[in-house]
Amino acid sequence: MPVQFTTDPLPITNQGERHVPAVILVDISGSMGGIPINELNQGLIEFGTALHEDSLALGRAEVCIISFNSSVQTEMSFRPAADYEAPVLSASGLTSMNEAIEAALDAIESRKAEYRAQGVSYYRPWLFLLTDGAPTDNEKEHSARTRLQNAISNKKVVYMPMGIGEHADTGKLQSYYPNDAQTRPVLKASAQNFKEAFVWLSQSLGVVSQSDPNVSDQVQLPPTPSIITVGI
Amino acid sequence: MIYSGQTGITYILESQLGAGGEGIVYSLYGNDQFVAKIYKKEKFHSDSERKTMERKLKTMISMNVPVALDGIIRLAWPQDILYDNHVMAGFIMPKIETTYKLFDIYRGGKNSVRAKLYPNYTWKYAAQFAYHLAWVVAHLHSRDIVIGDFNQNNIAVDPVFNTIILIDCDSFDITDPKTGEHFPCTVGLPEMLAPELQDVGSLSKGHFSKESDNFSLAIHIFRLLMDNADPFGGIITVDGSASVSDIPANRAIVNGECAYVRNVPGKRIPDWSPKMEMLPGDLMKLFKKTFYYTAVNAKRKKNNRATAKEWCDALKPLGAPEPNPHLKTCTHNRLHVYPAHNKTCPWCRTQIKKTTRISKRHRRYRYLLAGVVFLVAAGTAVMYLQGIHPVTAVQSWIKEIPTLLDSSDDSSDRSSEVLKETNAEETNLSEYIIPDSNSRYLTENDLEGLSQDEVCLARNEIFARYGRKFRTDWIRDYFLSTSWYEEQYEPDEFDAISNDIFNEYEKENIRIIVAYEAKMGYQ
Repeated sequence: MPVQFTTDPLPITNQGERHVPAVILVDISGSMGGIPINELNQGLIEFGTALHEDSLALGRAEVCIISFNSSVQTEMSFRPAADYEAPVLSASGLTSMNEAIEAALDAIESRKAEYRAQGVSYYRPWLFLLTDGAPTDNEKEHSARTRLQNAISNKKVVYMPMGIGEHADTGKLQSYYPNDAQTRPVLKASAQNFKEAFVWLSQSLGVVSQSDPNVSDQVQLPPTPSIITVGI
Repeated sequence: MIYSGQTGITYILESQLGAGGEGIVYSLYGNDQFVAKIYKKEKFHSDSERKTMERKLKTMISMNVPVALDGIIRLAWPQDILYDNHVMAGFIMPKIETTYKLFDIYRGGKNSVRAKLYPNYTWKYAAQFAYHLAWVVAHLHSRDIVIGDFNQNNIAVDPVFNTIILIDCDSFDITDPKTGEHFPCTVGLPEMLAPELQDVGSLSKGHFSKESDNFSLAIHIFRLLMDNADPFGGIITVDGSASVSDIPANRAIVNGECAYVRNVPGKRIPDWSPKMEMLPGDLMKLFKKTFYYTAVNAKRKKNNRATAKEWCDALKPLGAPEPNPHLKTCTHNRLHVYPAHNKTCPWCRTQIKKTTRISKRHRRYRYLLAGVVFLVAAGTAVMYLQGIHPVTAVQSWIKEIPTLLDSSDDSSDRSSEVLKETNAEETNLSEYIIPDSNSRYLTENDLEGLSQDEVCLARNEIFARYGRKFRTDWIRDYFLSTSWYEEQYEPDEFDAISNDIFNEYEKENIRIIVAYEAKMGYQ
């Protein structure tokens, strides 16, 4: 199924500053219904509020939101963090996570092409992936995994998976790391209480946006909130 | 919370005003001119680190540096040390109430903080902020004080007096003038660091200096004057596959890859950026002195860098009150102010480049651009200091600073500025035959009052908005005479893709005009 674009990308602002592009990939399959989807929507609102708390980062971060269920939707194409608007998502359907991963990598590539054309420098893009289950589009898994593993190995993307609830397949989320990865961090939280993860994500982007791009492997991110555990 | 000062004065901390990476700032009971900064525990890894910080603060306080220059606060310099049970916990400093930072002045654009703060912002403001910044640095350097971590987060903007305030002074690189003890600055924002500090590994091994301050100062001034361009940025032209992030980021600073001052193979200046030649010759020269080096001679050439005093001398004429012979104002847009040696308006040029690049998409998302909310605290003010460090004995050149941005620019003449601005817009619209032929369907009524040539131009205008070139000389000459047109696409190249580019209004309006021309026998 082709990816639907509900919005066009917005133009890049502050081209003279190094940008941090981030794709937020969120699971809106049927199992997310009820409290989890409300928590997700609230998290996306608080993400926007948190972005505004760091005015240097606000001019440097760029965000794209892609959701996936039986299909993959670009809820918000890449745009400056200052123009961020939280989408309102509802849950139904299956879990096309692999297709979504490829859509996220595509979105990153096309935004990077735009950066290059305008001479905008950038930090390594972020791919934040939130799911409460396991992918159902298994036929696409090989291709998605290969692409994501390569992107991580070649330092083209920072992969930040998060599993919520008991049914999240964290082993699967970890399998998208390259085979020779030394650590495979995956964030975990209850499906009823995870929205703070988005505030943490915003703060992390803020830290990255002022870091030394030479050592982006070693950037010290803010501590994760207590509701989140980190599996390695 | 109660703390005691160096001489036993008691300070009562009231409420938290803000938190930074290494400390929390509190208001003081019964004192609205000063605040307290209490260090977080994790800032100090040992008692001796805490003791060193205490000695540094003592040294800074004993240096008697006036926080106010020309009656306006420009430094959040420590004023007293706070002790908790005889252990140094933090210090007292003047209250700085603004939340704006220097990067808010760098950043332009319709929805920017700057546009809200200064609706009539022009390049002259940029020159004046640059001057104020250089002037404060010159003052510090004249006292042998090195800033060190001289980054845009540590430079606040005072929107009442339209000047800058250096904050986070406790991170400065301080040498005790009496004992010679050196308290080095150990933090820095990588993108602001001079080449000699880029590859030291840990900054505690680096050595900040007046010269490294001069390097950061030049970057700030460059961003202010050059529409927030990165002097070491640009479009990488070597190889389509080499992404900017593949290149070790600050290698450009280490190698002196500044495409604005020298030819850097594989790199060119972005279209949206102004050209260096836009600047007066003396400013260009100062940028060259600072940014013209290579990896091989970077350290040797650090003494060549323009000093803060040199920047002051070069910038000062640009900030002088009107009529200012050093500046010109664009005839199309009163907010386009530029150095007088330019024959054409440099801002019109870059603006066209910016808009043509995005114009294709622009129409489709215009509705999305509405209203960006910035959480910016309103009601900012600056406190005068009384009694603590009277402003005395300032050197004579310090008094030369214009303490305010030109009042004629800023407030008293605002009504006429607004008027001029409206006129400027009309001038721009009048440069079109049918200004809105891209956003509504035309009717024959729109065309009836036009001559045959004007109808022809109205049709071609739809193509010209996108930068299509024209083969017919008189049509080409006409569009070249407008301020908005810029040749971009070969006619064939454009016509091949025009169907994807035009919106529905444009497609239909071309048909309407062609039909009208046929009906009138024009074609």
